[in-house]
Amino acid sequence: MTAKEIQKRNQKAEQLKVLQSDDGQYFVESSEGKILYNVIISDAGDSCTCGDYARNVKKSPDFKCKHILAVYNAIPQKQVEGATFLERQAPKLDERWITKIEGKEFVKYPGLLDLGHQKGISSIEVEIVQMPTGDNGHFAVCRATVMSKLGETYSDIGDANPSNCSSKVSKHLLRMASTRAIARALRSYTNVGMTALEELADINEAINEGGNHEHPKAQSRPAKKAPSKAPKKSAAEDDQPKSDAEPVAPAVENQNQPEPSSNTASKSPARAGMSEAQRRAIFNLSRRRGISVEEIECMVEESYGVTLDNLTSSDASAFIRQLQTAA
Amino acid sequence: MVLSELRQTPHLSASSINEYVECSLLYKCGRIDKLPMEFKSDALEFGTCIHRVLEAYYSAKMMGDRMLLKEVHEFFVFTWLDMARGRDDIRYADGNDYNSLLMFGRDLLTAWYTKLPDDDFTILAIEEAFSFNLPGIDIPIIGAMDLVEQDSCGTIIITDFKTSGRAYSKDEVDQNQQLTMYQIAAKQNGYGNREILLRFDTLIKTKVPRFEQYWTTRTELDERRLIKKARQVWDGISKGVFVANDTSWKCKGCAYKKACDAYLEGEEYDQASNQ
Repeated sequence: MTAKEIQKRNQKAEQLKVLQSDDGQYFVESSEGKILYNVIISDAGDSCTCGDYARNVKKSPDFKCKHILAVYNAIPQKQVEGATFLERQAPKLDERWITKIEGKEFVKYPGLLDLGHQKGISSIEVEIVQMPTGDNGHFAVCRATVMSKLGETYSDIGDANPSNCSSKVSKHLLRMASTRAIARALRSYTNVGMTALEELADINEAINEGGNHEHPKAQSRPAKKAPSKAPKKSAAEDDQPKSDAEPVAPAVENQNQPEPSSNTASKSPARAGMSEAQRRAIFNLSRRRGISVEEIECMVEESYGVTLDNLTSSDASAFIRQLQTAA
Repeated sequence: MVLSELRQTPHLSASSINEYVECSLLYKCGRIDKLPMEFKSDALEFGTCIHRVLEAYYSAKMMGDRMLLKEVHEFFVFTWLDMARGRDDIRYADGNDYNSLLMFGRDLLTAWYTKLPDDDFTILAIEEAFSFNLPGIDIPIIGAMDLVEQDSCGTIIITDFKTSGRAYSKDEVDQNQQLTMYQIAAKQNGYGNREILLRFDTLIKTKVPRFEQYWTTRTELDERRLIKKARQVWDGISKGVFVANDTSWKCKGCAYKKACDAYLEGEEYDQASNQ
């Protein structure tokens, strides 16, 4: 290093801010103020984490970059600012990206992306495996590869066709397949076991409307009258389909009804939470209108300022009405 | 309260109000003159049969029992056999007969059974008959709710079972008078302070059978509109106003076609027109 070069570096070094953390390590801010370089000053030799040092120290073991020089300049002038550094946080999936439907938890695509960036995504690449055409039943397949900053790669595929998408996205099958592929690759990378909402065919799948009768839940309430296993005779007394049907249960007003499990049976406590039946009604209405779960969440947040799960019974009632009148 | 007993006395119902509005002569033939129907449509008989199967299923569920699909099929076959075999007054639509509907019914019930959501709702009543009076109407409004349930928060769910040749449109569900009447009845009969949701459980008779649930609600405005209409219908009935809607698409399949033609073309008509 020539004297001229040292002088030039010293001039640059004078402009740099030097910090010292609690444990005595020096950090020098880059001239743009965006990066901190860790400078080690020791009897065994000085070093810096900058590129200039890494390049030149190979040629000249005594090389001193502007950051090292900045530390040398700052110490005698007592221009070292005290710096404390926050503990590095472990990547965490924020709860707002998790939605619970019928007791099952689903992660949203933005949550997976957020977690991926926290861990350090280097790149995401998507390859089209199959274009949706009439010949293949409009079946789109994509493969996504997520590369971490450490160079690890995680790959998975996603598919979309008119039968496994809601009507809202059925015109965007390739994009849907791409989103699903990325979601699956991100789940592998971020070690998230929850299914992504975007992977579901529709809301029905989320709320298990497909019918699961493997574990039927028996009703504990005793019946007033056993069901007749023998069919009733057809009667022609009326033209209504149910004309001759015998009522099985007693009249509503005389019934010894089981008490609701909470004190929310009355409409008056407006703060009571949304009931299971209301939830089902909301999902049923939204499905019939081609509104996705995400759109429903947005609509609820816009209208009531809370998440769907936190809707009150009265707000849920109003929202059902809103959905009903939606085109 | 038994619906068949309630029907013995003069009454109005959601279906009779609808019938009067669509063709008041049809109302007169069937409900006032009580003329025998010229035939029974296969859709009506088949629907009644399916309805009984669903009723049996929920009755068993109410007792903590559960009918297997095999038992559902057996019950249907037995019911259809009892209801339809050997009857010559059932008019089958093109392509239908006793056997084809026997086969189709099983497929339809399979679609219903496998798609029916597994819920924790408590069954309060099955075939719940009701009767109530409205100001301005001298006879009671009667009917029966197919299924009344409540969820853990106390929300009441009133379900009507339907068989239909096609899926329902939004308006058909949201404007259906029968469901509105059920809500009025539920409020009149002790559920006035509850959140009430309404539902159609519809077994759709498409080539590939389907099952759809349609959830809906009604506002007080919906109730007021139906009550007003019911009063107008009662006004017409009590004044003897019965007008044949003989240009309806339904005339072709009407079970009172001959009686209607006789009424419009017969002596009663001539005397009236010569006055």
